[in-house]
Amino acid sequence: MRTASRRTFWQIWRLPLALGLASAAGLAAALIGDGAWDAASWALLGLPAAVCGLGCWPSKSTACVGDKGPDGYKRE
Amino acid sequence: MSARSTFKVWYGVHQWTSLVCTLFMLLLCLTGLPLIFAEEIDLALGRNIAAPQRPDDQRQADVDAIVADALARRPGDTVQFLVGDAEEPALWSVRLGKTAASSDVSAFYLYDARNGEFLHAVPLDSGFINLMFRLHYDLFAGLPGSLLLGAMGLLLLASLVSGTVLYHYHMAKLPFGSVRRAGSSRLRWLDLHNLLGIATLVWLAMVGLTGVVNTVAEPIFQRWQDTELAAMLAPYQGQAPVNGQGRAGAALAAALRAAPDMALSFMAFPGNEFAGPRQFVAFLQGNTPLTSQLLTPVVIDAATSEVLAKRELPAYVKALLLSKPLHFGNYGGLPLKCLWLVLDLIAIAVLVSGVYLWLALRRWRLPAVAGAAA
Repeated sequence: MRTASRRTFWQIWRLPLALGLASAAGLAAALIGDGAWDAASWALLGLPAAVCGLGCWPSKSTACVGDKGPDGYKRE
Repeated sequence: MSARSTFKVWYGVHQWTSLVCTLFMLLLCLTGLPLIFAEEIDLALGRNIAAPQRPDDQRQADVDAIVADALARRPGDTVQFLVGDAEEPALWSVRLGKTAASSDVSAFYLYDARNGEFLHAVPLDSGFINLMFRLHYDLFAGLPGSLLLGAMGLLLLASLVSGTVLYHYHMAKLPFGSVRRAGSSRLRWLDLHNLLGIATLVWLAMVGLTGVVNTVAEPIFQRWQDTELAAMLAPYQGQAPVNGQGRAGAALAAALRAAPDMALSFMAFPGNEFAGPRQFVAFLQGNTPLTSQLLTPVVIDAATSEVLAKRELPAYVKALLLSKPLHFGNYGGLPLKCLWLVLDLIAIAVLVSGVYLWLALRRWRLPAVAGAAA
């Protein structure tokens, strides 16, 4: 069985960090202004929702990556 | 401590904080769904109404005539508040009670702000949205119910922190967004739980934190009333009371002259717990998206319509007021409410998958624990 290589801290966290910053900016934008600020808020807060949608989309592309499961858990 | 035992500690924290609060959080997420659209639902059910279309858009109705009409509809009652809405300048509302000082409401009437016509009596303490709100706000148990939900919110925040740490272990060898579909459905749900949780983490934390802040709203307002507002009204304590009838229009005009860039949020009538014995207190809101969430109290003499005092709210009350829109999601139009709905549904998916994983991983984890002990 192929063992995937360990990922660095930056590799693990860059996208969650980007989504977090987008969410925070989206939450703030609609509070700061109307019109374009509201639209920016919808777009930014839409990003985490869209990522969740993609993750739930049936696809085989991400199957079998790191098959051994995460550290700390062990498959039967 | 080895990486493995660190993992186990965080796993334990995540498991137990989540287990305790999950049922409450499911209740909050489910009752929160209709509450996002409370205004729209109340309008659709006819429990509330929108201002009728009229050619003239000037807010020119005589406020004192509106107050007199409201009193005539409930002889013996007293007007407690005149309520405005910067978003809906074509409406005035009048709140009545058995007495001015009572915190109980006997009627809530809507009037057309352009011609003073009576429009609607809002039904009190009943209906679908009220049921959802009470389940969401205090479980029909008053302040103790609110505080219990606040404590559950703190557990949720601890669960989010520990879940974020576990995400780091989970993703040690996986690229972002991995949802492994080969193998068991437990693995798929574990991946989905991690992905949905981390993607919505900031929103979940913000709604959780502002929810906790809102559970202490009443004690915070009470503290402000007992200290700052009491100090503003201290010079007038013991004066012979008046009821403010026929004086509301002049008082409102004086308050708005003293703060030209502001609009009325609500005005407490003399004798009310938010006003003096012979003084109105108008709570004005700003005219920008941010300042419209905040309030500035203005004390007005009922007899002379003189503005006696005006001061900003302290930072802790401002923080409380700003935490409300960030919890409700009602500050960026219908699209923002729809996003709140989607994110709430994702939160439900995180909760349900968490329960499923707890049940499934109990069996799944045993060999690993046994292996570590060997």
